Amino acid sequence: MTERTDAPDLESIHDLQNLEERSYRTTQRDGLIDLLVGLGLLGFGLGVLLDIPMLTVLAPALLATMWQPLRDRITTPRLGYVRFSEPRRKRERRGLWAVRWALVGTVAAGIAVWMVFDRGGESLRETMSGLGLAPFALMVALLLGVAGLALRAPWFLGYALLAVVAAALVPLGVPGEYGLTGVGAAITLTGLARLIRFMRRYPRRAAEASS
Amino acid sequence: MSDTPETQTLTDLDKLVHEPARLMVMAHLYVIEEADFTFLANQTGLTGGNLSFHLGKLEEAGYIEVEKQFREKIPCTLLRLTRAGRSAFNDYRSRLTRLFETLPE
Repeated sequence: MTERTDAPDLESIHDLQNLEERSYRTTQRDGLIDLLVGLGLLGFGLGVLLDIPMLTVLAPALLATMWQPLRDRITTPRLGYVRFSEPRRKRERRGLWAVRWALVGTVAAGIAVWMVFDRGGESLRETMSGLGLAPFALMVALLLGVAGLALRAPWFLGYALLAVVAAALVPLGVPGEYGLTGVGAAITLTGLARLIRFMRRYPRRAAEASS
Repeated sequence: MSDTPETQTLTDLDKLVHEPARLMVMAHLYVIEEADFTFLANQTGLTGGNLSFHLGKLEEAGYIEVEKQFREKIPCTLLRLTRAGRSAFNDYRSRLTRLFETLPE
């Protein structure tokens, strides 16, 4: 067995902050979160398109619970187990809470929009009907943006931009459900590509050597 | 080698830490709390046998703590730097920094 060549060079280990950051980044390389977010959006979009309300509601909720079990099954056996320092874990917890609050805010905003639509006058209903799923796509964009910043996953900002594009296409005649399904498909494919690259780069070790 | 303060610093370096593979292992363990063998092998790029050898040396010196566990019936070797290991790594870094600072441009 030859030594891997993607290891950091000796010079880089003197910059310990950079070394820790690189270690942390490797734990984000598996693409699982992208895959699940993408499939959730895809499920939502297809649910609206095919008029399957159960798929619209259940797909994102179901997929949200699958992240940790999948990480335990796919990521940890390949990459190994690591427990980062307390400051890093604190930052990570704060990031996750920011995403949770953004999710709660998004749902609350969604309910508020629906209530305005439901109780509003005829002209307001007409205007909002014209917007279709554009407000929802913007909320998704906001959520993806917050996730990108809070979890230090800058590529999520790219996903947020895609959702903004989906929202912007609604006034041009592209239904929001098509846009969101497209965004979901794009994120799913990206996640899948990241996962395949991760699995190739970190094959499962047959048996652990011991010291 | 003449006995200047610079060369003295160089000869005083902890040889156990100075070895490139062990230095990498210690640096990786220094920035985290604990990791298993697989994670460390992936991060350092060392082969299983090579890593085992260096971990043995570090454990012998009391620089790392090795804990054998089973996770879902799979053996798992947890590794963490001891207080002595942290101190040795810090000392090595400050000595090396001092050495480079004293070198002429």
